[in-house]
Amino acid sequence: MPSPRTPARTREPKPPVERDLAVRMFEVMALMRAVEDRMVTMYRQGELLGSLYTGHWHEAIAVGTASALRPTDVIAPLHRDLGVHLWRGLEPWQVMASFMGKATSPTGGRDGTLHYGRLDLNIINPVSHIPNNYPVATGAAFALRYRGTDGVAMAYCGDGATSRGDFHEALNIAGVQRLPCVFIVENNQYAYSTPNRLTTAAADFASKAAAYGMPGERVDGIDVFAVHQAASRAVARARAGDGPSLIEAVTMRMHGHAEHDPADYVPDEVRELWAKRDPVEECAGRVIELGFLDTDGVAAVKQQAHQTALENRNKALGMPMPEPDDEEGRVYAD
Amino acid sequence: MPTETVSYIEAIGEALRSEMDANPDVFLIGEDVGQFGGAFKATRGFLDRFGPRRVVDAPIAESGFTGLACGAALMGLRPVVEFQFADFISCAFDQIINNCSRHHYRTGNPIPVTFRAPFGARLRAGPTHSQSVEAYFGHVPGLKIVAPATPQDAAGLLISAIRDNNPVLYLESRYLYRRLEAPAPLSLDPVPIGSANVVREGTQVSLLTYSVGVHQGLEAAQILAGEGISVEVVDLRTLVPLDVATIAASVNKTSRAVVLHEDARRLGYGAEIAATVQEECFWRLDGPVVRVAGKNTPIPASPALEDAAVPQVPEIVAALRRVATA
Amino acid sequence: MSEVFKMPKLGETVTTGTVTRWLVAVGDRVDFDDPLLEVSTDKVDSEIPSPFSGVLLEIMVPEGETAQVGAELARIGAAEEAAAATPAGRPPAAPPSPAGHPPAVPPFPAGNGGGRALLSPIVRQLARKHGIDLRTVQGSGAAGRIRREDIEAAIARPPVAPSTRQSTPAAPPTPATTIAPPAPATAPVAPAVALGPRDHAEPLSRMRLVIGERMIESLRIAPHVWTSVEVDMQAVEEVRRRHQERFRQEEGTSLTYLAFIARATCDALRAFPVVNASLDMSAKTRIVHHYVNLGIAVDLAEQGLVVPVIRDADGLNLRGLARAIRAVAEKATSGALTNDDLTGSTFTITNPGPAGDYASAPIINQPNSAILSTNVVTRRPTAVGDAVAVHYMTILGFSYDHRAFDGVTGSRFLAFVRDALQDRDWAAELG
Repeated sequence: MPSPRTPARTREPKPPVERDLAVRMFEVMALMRAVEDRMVTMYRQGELLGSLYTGHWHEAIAVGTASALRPTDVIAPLHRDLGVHLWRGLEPWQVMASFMGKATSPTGGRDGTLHYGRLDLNIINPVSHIPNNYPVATGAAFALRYRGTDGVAMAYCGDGATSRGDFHEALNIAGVQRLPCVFIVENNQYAYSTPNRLTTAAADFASKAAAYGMPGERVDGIDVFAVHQAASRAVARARAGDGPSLIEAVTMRMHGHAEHDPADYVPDEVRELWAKRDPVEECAGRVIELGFLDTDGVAAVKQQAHQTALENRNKALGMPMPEPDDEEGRVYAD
Repeated sequence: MPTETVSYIEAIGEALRSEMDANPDVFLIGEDVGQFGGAFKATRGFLDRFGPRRVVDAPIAESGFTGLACGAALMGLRPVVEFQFADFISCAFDQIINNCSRHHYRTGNPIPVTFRAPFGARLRAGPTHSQSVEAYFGHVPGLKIVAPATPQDAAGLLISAIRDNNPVLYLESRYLYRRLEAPAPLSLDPVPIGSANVVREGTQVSLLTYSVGVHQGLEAAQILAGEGISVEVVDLRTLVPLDVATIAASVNKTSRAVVLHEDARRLGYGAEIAATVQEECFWRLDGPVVRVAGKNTPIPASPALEDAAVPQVPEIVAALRRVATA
Repeated sequence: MSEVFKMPKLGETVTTGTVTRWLVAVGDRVDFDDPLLEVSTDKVDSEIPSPFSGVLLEIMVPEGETAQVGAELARIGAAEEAAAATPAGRPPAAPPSPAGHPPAVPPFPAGNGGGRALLSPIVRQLARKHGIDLRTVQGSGAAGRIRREDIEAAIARPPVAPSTRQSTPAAPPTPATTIAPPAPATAPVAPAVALGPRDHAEPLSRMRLVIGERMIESLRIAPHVWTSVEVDMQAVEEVRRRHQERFRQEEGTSLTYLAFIARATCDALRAFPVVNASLDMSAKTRIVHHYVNLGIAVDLAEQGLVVPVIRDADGLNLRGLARAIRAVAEKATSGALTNDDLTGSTFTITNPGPAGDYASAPIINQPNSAILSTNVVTRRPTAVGDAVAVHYMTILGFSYDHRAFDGVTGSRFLAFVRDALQDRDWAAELG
């Protein structure tokens, strides 16, 4: 099992994506970073209810994959995929409201922290038992095909979650039923304090796809365009009825499992190595390189992201907390 | 082929077929449900009639296909999931507890899925093919649980379960599959979830029970009528939500209650029923609420062992007699 | 206008934090997001950015100190406020207590004394509602338990007509004939007995519990005094012997000591009406009865004690009384006693039986004023003139209510009974 290392950088000879798409990708990545940084501050200031989970260094994976989908495709994300929600138009204050238990959170305060999907945006609200969302995503894919659409369902989990039975059962069913699914494994090297070498004896996660009769691809999770292209290929396959795919996107979990976890188990040299490969900064560099934005433009995007994050914080802080209201009555659907 | 009677398992098939005909969003998924027609042949002929898109032969992956059903239901389909034996539902416990049952409370989005689970003992099938599972799931907020005792109710409750916008655990009695017949044609009117049925009126003691217990209770009541003891038998039909009004009316009338189920006694569903009865009817009771239930053991396989582990009619008669005359 | 920054919760299970370093001094300007302080918990060390802009006016928790989550750490506000004196250690506002709504507890029905043994809620409710005396209801359940059907049958039965001889005071009915009022709060409660491995518990019968209730009540209301008299029964014994065989033939029963004693007692009661009277303390009166209804306590062995009443016993002679005693004893043992049979006594004789008690101190059968106990009749030496003879002797025990009369009356009463027994021409009375 390889120890955490810096994967090779991928380079494409021509622009990997069009300008507008690339700029939007950068904007959403910058916004994801700004919102999460702001939430870290809010956490330290005691403004959040409980733990805070962030996706620092996951921005390229979230945005690279979400941008390969249509709004009618279904996404089943987990807790480090804020970029997926932002791509689809979820406002940051809703995420903050979820972490604060506000009445205006997507669950009205009935759930909290990272459990904040929105079915109207075709995003399925996850539970903490990971990867429970994997089988659920197969169901979404099943329904999309059942209804005669070429819709696709995309599910995310981390390296640690691949150890559970639901990972296997979902991939197996998707493979044998040739469901239009794309399974993303965000390999950020650590499951809480458990490094990959204690999670699996396999060489990597992408090769596990073969066991289910589907293609598996390993991609540099720091490079948003590489992720986007890998995701686009997988989505196209699924849309064409060729069945599911597995994409392993490699990155590093730069913060602790949650903000209360200092992650002292991560060797300093590993952190230092990955600190040099900030996906947001690399994307910024790429859009400048490709001539889509200049340095002022990049700075402006970052400034706007910072401002948006702040405004959403202020908005969320002012929102009301829920009072108990016929709780038993809302358990059942009518 | 037209027959003069419809068995319990045929009633299930008829109801399922009728709903699948009426609503294109209803589909089946489970092990051996398609080309094999179901382990108990409940879905014989369905693959030909509805095709593989709507009758899905799943691999052995209860958690996987339960999660799939939840995802599909979230998207507006109406899956009917078959667990080959209720004993295997434990493989899907995580999905049912965490994804399925509490989803509507968390998000306001419904998950209209029906879980069919053949349950119960008396078939010499041993500890992992004879379980009753209502006690665990009765505790979970967000699920409904039904347990029909007759072919008529088997059809009517399955129809209601499929139409309900909540996850419904449908406990079908394997023991009754081919032992009960009802006159054809079967009514395909839905039986409301949450309504109990007084199947035999009486004045001295109320027997509150479900599934196989209903038939044992009727047999016991007949025996006791010969001794001048009048037993009222209440078929609960739905366990969650319990029809408290009918239960309370019966016990308030007779002043005595005996709860009967095959499941093990300790924290079996009878504990909830007994607690409800004492809360609702205490001041009108002539004696304590008594439970007649299975032993606190796994269900043994060998006949004499199994027979001793679950309630039999003589034991039920003795309990009713003792309660009625104490 | 200043803001207070409180200790954040830096971990789900964390309850305190230690201020390791203040990064701003009092009086310094600090802007929103500027690093304000460093906090250490057992999970993590964190640099905390300021959520407020202004001047750091006050530090409540200095470096090195630990504070609870939610404790005030610093005040930040406008510069002018630095001069205003602020009280140290203002107590934090108490968090609002959760609006607890204790679950509704179903109300207890009003107390209903008398015979609580194994009475189910429905039985009590129906008895109260229909005014049924549970002591008159026969139980058909296990160990004589009253079932719902029994009380329903009692409700359906026509009510028993009250005896015209019964006293009808303006005050509430006497306790012996109706359901007793609730026991007073000061009634002593017996301590619970722990059940050991060599014990087993048997439920007490309804009758046992009723007797218990009555005994406690009688002792509670009447100051009991016990006295006694020794009676030479030699004369009685000789009459008994001579007439026993013929009496048995004629009456079908033996001529017992009890009959003689009862006869003597009835005469004594006529001579001492105060002993035959009933007290009505609420009206501060004594009810004087111009008749004797003689209660005879009959021991039913395992099942308890009943006191059937021989009405107008003072109108019966020795033979009549012997017959009447036998009649009530038979009714008692066959369970045929009615409500009428058990009520209305003016005096009671208790007859523990031939077991051999030397003397006994019975408890008064309310609402009587006294009770007589018979004991073993046995051969003992006694003085006859100056000689010693062995005669049949017995002790009569007598418990009386000291509210009703005093020792002299009691003694005289007993003396009358003794003298009647010793000196009467019993043979002539038998005929």
